[in-house]
Amino acid sequence: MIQIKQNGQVDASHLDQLHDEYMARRCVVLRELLEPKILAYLQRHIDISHMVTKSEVDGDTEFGKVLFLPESEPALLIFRLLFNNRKFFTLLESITNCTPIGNFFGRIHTSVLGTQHQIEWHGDNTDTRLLGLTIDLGTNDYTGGVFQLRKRSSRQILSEVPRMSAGDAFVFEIAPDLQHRLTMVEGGGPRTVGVGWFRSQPDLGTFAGDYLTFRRAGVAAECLPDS
Amino acid sequence: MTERSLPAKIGISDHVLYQEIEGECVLLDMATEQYFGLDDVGTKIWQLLAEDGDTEKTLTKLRQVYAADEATLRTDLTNLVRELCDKGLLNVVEN
Repeated sequence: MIQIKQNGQVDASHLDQLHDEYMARRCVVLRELLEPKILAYLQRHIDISHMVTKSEVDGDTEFGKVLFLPESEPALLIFRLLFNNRKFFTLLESITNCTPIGNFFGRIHTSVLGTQHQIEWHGDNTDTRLLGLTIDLGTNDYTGGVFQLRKRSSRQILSEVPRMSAGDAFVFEIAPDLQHRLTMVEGGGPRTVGVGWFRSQPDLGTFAGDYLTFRRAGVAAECLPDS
Repeated sequence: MTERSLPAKIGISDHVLYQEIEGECVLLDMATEQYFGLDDVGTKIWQLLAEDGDTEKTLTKLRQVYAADEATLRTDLTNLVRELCDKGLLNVVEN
């Protein structure tokens, strides 16, 4: 089990089991990845956020559509802050044997029943992405909305992850021979998740300056001590 | 200006989310929705205080890290601790 704590620490146990699961399925489920208090805080922020429809495109090809949380929403900054955690990077490198992780770039999105929100097979194998992450941030039960990971050539399904509990996550490999997709929500919902990619570049310092600043998220922050 | 003393023991408020990014840290008060950034020195102090809240131990360790005299370090530590207490990010632990 791995859990990101409120104090920035990361609790970890049974890493061998997680490593074995990942090696077998190229995907590993991380139960209760966020401490409940942080999860509840994020959910509160998401509940009051305004989402916008966004199409997923690869070149000229659209392969999906969901609701996204805009860059200006504080919940997105909190989400990115939580997962740009050096200790968590090190644990993931150990579980997956991936090359060193430089940063995490994430989004929060929602799939709503009856709106054709789904994401077709695609690879995400770009932009120095090493691993993908999805964490359930929702408060509603739903059916459908299944994540699937397959081999590109043989189309053999390697992993399938149905609805998890809020705070649960899974991490999967990004590689040229792999594709993944999200099936449509078939009942209940909406399905709200944080998604993103652990990337090798840029390094965390560079990334933080560009994407983890309060100003970018439109959030007023105070610097201590006063200077 | 009233001189403020250094509390012997402090604790981190249970509604504070802390995250360190490359040597600098972000504090989010989940109760008031306020965000705070600590510079590298403030981050070091926070990390030391987070170990067990003993401010004298923190001061001793700061002296091992920074080439400043004890009086200066004590003043800086006191000011930061008091400011963090005023913001509700730390609380004084009474004996």
